[in-house]
Amino acid sequence: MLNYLHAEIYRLFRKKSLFIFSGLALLAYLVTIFIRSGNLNSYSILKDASDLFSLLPPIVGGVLFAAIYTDDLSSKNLSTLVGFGLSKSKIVVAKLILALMTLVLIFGLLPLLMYLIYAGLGWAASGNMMANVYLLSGRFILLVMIFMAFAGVVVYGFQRSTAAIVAYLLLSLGAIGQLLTLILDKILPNASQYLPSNIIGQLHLNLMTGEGAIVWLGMGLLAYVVMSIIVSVMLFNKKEMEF
Amino acid sequence: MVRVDIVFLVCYIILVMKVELQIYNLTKRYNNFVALDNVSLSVNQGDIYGLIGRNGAGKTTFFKCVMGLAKITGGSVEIAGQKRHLDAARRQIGFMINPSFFPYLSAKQNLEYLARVKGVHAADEVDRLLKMVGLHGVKKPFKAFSLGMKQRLGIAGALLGQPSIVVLDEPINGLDPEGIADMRRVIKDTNQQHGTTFIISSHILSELDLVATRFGFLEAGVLIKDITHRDLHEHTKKSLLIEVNDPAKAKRLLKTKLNIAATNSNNQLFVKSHLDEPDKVAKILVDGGVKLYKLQHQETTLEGYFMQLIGGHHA
Repeated sequence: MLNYLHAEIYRLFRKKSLFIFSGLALLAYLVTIFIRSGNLNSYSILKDASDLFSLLPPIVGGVLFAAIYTDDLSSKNLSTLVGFGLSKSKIVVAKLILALMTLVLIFGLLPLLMYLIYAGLGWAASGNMMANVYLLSGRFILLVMIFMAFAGVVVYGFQRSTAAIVAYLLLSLGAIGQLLTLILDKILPNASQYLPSNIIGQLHLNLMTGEGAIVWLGMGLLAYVVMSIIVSVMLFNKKEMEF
Repeated sequence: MVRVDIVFLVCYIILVMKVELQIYNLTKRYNNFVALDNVSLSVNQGDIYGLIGRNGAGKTTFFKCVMGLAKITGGSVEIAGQKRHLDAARRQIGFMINPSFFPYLSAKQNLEYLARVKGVHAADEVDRLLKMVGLHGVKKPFKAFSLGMKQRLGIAGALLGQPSIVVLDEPINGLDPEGIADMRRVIKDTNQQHGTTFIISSHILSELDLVATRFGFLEAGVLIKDITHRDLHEHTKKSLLIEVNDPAKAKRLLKTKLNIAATNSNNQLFVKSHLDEPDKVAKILVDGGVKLYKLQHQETTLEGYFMQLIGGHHA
């Protein structure tokens, strides 16, 4: 599995379109900073991070999801990996680890970048403010991670790139979450609080206030990830590999 | 004495001829459609096994079952003596079933990706293979490759890490004549230098005839013949076709005058000796009072043999 992860990191770092996209996204952000610079101050970094991060799951997450997951389908790489003797469960788990590593890298660097831009403009954020920005970035890491794990089920179960990307976008835009909330509120009142996005929201709040359950909420999220891995592997085992 | 020879031969086979791939009653069904029906075969170390069959005969399904890409319905697969831990055993296999690579990576980058997956650490292995298949120095991405270049890269990918078994599905599809000759050389050299076992399917049978040491003929999911190259050519070697008015008399004349054992079908005789002396054969027959209607050289090609086989199977 380590060899596979090593290979995947090698591949992602050689996907030029990923860097072009990142460069354009960064440029767009810098332009918005320039336009809004008159309204910024040392406290606006948190609001700015919240606005920016909420855009990332469908936009940056979508591009990442395609690069990490669906490239394997379009290039038939899954068949190569399975034919080589890599177990399907290892492939599923390795992809999630790769997704987590990439998300930690992006959401780890973004607050730092924002801090440097703000400091450059003369509004250096305090340590406490940056801790809140990082908590917020952690929330989005978990959100995107859960969306990818769920959409991964479509990748392995159907082995269709378009279906998988649509599933990811519906999840990241909140369409599926809102639909489930509507349905659950009618059938099982209070059950919607156990939806992953609500658990993550609660976890973020508890971490900010230092009150309430943290471990149990973390376990709840972990259960969702484990469940998605199990379903992915089951469907992957059932689905015939295509050439 | 004969028994001693047989015992020696059996011992030789057991000790020296290691079986790389053993297939037991392999069956694959898709609902009611039987793609593979009780296929049993063994491929020995160092064999170049040519799998022959029409489109839809089950060749790719066979490869998919061997590589674990399709669940088998019945029977079993044994790779390098391993029947249980097939995932681990499959790491000794390099394969190409439709060359599939990342479209935005170059030939070298795609092979370096695969080298990392396979845990191949030799730094010069990728360059060696790219030179071998004639893609060294090609910078453009895979998506800009011609079909022939894709095939070459697919073969390089299959050979990466010097696997003991290499499975190639239609490896010379899309190659120009020079490319076909190059691939033949690559397969033969790898087989001779490293003892690599090859299992190759192709519908260009004349080409397969030039490299394969054994052949398996698949038709409608059934392995209808498993034969060595030598035995195959015993069946397909040249003969003289003789058409006469009295085949029985002609057969007697050939036996008594030239000691030829001819076989006959209707009023045609087939002679597998005296191929360079058709005049001598004609004289014996005409002098013996047989009316000679036709005398011509005949050779069954691999294609011809295959057509005979599948014709027989359908009958």
